Amino acid sequence: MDLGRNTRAVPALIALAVALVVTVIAAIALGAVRVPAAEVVAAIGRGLTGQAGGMADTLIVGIRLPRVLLAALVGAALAVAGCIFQALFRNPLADPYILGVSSGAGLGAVLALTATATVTGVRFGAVPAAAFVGALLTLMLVVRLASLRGRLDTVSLLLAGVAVSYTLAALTSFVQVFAREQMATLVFWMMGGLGAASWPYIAVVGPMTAVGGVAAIAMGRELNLMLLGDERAGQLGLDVERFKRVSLLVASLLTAAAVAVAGLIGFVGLMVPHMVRLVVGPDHRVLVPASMLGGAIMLVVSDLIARTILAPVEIPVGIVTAIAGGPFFVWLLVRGERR
Amino acid sequence: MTRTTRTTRGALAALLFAAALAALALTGCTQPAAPEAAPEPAAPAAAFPVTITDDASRSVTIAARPEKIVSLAPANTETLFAIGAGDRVVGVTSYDDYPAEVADIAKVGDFSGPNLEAVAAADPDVVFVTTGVQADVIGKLEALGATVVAIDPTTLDGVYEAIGEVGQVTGNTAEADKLVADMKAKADEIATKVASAEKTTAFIEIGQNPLFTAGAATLLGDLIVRAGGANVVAEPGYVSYSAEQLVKANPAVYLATKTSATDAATVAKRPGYDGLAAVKDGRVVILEDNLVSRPGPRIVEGLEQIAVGLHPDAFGQ
Repeated sequence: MDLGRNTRAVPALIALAVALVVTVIAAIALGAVRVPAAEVVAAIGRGLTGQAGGMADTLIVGIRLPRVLLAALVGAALAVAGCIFQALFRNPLADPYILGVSSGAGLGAVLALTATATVTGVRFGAVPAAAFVGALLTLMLVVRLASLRGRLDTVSLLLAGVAVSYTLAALTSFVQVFAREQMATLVFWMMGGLGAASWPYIAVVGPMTAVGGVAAIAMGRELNLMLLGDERAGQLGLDVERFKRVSLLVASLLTAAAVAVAGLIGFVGLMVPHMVRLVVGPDHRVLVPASMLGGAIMLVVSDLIARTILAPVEIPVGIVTAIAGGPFFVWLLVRGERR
Repeated sequence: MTRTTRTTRGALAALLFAAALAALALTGCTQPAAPEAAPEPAAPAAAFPVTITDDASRSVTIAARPEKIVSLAPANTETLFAIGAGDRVVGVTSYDDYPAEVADIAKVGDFSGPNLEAVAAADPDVVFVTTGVQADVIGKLEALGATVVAIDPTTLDGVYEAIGEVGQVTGNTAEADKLVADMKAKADEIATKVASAEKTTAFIEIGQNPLFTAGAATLLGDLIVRAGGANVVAEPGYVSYSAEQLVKANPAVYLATKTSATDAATVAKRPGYDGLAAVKDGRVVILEDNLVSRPGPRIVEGLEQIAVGLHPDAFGQ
């Protein structure tokens, strides 16, 4: 595409990658409890060799490390999903939750919370699993509804998404009336957070984000074509229908994985692609990997702030992403205008 | 931003549903004409009008012995029944489940707060509320012509005082004094048992995902101290707490309310919990929410649950 911009792409990607590494290291080094750097490294070493045992080991290897990694994975997944949705719908306000993923996942989570309130043991894994199933079922329903008249066009998708989404949100509210003891859990789940991070979650979200991310990066050229509109993209040789289905599947998997383990974290999926676009330009071959890195950085930093600023009290990460991200986005915008 | 819209929609749906419920409540259970108040045997020599200062720092004057009482918090309902004023309670919330008699009393509120129409239909002389979420409705309830008393103690002593106030407001002062004396005796008995034992460090979970706990200046925090424990959380109020800090503090006993953690085995399986001394030593104690969190007469039973959890030896367990 625009070669003038692409010359900035490689340095920008390298800078983002370095920033991510630095951020992750900082986030592992810092936390509610002060652990000396040498002890952090030693604890990770013991964790890698399977000899973890002491307090610092539990703290670093059992709690902090999975949380930081999960933040990076969820942030990356949401930002890439946001990128894909924004390109597919040619809508700058599209976010990973646009097709009703949030409502579907929400209903799944409430049902799991209600059903397992008295069932021993299963609740811990049931809520994320149900949220995941709810998100995927909703997406399948929306895509099926949107393609009832043959073609899978963008407007039908959006309308079907909105209709299904509101219906499910109402059902969720209805169930909540009867599950009020789980209200608090649900409210916090809706706010999103990484407090539940653990290695099994990483084992689920890691591969999904990796597969989804690689697929999304490989779709860069097609996403660029989609920006030209369905018809024009078709004329240029893209099987638009098929591409829509594949890219929706990829974006949905990414979103569902993130929602299942971290609830609904706002802002990242919507805003990170815009922020990154202001820096690296609109070429998806660069934008997708850059968003992936940017989303990871943003959520790792936000979560670091969320768990340390009032330590040992924690605040919901969604508050941080919005408070820190909003002004940052405005700054990028203003800076871009001045140029 | 999409989420905000949806939340608003959700709230709207909840409101509509509450309205529907209210309609049902009004048509479904028509209030029978209030029976003539039978003169109570051995009516205590409570002199009306009485003036008290409630937990919202309001000075409230009760002109005459209230005949119809609405309670908007389960703890208040329990107190009313425990001091023999239960037969005058004409409205409770759908949270109320104790004593069993409350099942037959009209429900005039639920999680979203009191239903003003249902309260009006109950035509109460006095409404007992709690503060916090219910602070907003005090004015609205007063507009219905009811005298409103806010009860929200945050210490065990505060619970005793609150029960005394409920006694004054209802005119059942003697029964209230007796109840408080019984509760104090039980609390003293517990205090004596744990007095010689070393303070046990403890953490109390009241919510998970995120991990929520009760710190200083909370009723639960006060109960832990009185049960011979030292709360590892010094921050005041109910707060979302760092799992890292929990691991570092490493309390000897891990207390958790039942609605938050179904059982000890589930708690032990949480990520990072395997290193906790309380988990290793099998000292995860599940508490009955309604006993430890309702500032009413059964709070001393909650105190005992916590004390037994912290010092099983002192109770021969």
